[in-house]
Amino acid sequence: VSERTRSAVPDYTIGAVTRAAELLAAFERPPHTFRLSDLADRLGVTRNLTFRLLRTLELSGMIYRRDDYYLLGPRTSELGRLALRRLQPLVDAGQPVLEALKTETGETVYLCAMEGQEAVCIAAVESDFFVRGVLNVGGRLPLHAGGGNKVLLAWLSPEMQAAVIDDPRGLRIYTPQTPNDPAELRARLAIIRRDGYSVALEEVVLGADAIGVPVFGPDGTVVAGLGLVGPADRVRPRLHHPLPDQLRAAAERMRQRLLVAPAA
Amino acid sequence: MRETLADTPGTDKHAARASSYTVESVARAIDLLAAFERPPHQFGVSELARQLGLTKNLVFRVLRTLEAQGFVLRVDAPEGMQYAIGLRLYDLSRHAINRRQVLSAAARPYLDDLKRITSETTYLVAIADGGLEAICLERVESELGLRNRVEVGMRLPLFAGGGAKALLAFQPEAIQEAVITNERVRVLAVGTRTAPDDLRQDLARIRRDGYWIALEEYADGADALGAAVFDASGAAIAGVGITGPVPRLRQRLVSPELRGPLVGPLLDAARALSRQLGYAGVYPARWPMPAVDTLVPSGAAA
Repeated sequence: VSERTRSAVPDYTIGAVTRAAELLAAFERPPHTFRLSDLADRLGVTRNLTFRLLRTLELSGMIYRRDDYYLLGPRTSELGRLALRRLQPLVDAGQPVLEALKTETGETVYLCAMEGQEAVCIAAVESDFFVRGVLNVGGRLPLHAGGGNKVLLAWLSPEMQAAVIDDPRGLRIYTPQTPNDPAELRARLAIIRRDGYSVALEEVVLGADAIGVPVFGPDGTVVAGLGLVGPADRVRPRLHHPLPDQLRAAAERMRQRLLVAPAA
Repeated sequence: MRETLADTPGTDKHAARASSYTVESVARAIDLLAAFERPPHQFGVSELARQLGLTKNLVFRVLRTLEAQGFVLRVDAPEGMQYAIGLRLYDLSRHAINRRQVLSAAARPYLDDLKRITSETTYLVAIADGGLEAICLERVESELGLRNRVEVGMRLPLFAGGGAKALLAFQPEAIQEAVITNERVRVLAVGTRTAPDDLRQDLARIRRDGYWIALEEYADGADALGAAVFDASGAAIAGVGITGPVPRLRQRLVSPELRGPLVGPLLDAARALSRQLGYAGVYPARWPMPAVDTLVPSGAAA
């Protein structure tokens, strides 16, 4: 056994599968449709391999070919939707609660949940105001900043919390108000757990304030974060009263709905 | 049981030997992703290996590779550690074409041809979400001063009209019954048939003839004809139709001699579109759909 192999982390990955994944990822860039030669150049692999990868992916519907151009196919569309399916019972329980909360508060409200190591927005009901908070359902949210999302971090296990807070890449800064000092963030999380809600003053988007509360599941664990986001001039005066009570009441209604819903 | 993958870590040179046109390890990885399409949509390594007939070692390595790309993720389950589809695929899916778009794109040239041949409005319908209505996916409008208007996205009944009724005729019986006994079945025009027994008779006739002539079923003054489109699995996934005003179409549709120049191109288009979508069986497909092992061998023509 050579020095090199002994010190290396064992690599169980399969090269061609990684290339195929990279090929699919290449379609994220506009214009999302490319010719074989464009793709080969971007991946830095031969046209022959690119052709065989495309052909394999095309046969399964992951890629769709229109004349000389390739684009992501219907199978990719369907598998993508599956990614959020595990969280569907939460969406079903939360949707009517979000509708009512949006009517009560006038602002955009949303639900987020952990999927693996990441927080994802699983449902949102937008404010009717012209200037309003907007979320991308299915999109990833930061855990260290924001309303409903920071609540998720506050109730994560200490190990998972540490993995986020002490990430060697550092905490991403979105605005001058984004918490990015680990010690300060830990202190804030303690306050969130004590108060039962999280406020975020322009932490993710300048001009936008947010608040979040935990949604507890039937087993008493936090299953989602319920958040509200809107322009600071409308939201900030209400952040500590009455929004926390309004959100907590909504989270409790959602817990009740989860109690009667069939298990995920 | 497949013991090994014709591949070693970090290379694909062995896979290249397995087939000169596809990549074996990538095909296995896609099979693995496809396994998650089945409920409960999350599985452990052993279960996946069993489902796919692959070794646990290979499944583990494919999962590790896909996990590194965010295509799958690990979740804690009461049964132990399991895998599920990851959010990275959700990101990608936002740029993907869906089945309806594929169908519309494939149908467009056929609808163009059919409109040129007949001078009338041609259209493609599929079953809308909810299953009780049709939705127009594509249409090519007639250029004549008097024409029938069908818009993309428009909801249409399944129990009346040309393309929609032809599509209904090849749906599973439970769907047909749900549609024809539904309260939405009502008189829309002078020719609408609403009695469940009449509709059952019409659907049987469509399966026999392969097309349907709808005389003022959907709207007064409008006649139509339609035929079903089948996909690779033999399922009817769309209906293609021609619609025009009674003064131009009625006489041609009711006369067996004059009908040919309309019905022929319609069936040609429906058959050719089905072929392009991968349908290899007889046209129209047998109904009810035969079990998989009794399917007509591919290449058997109508």
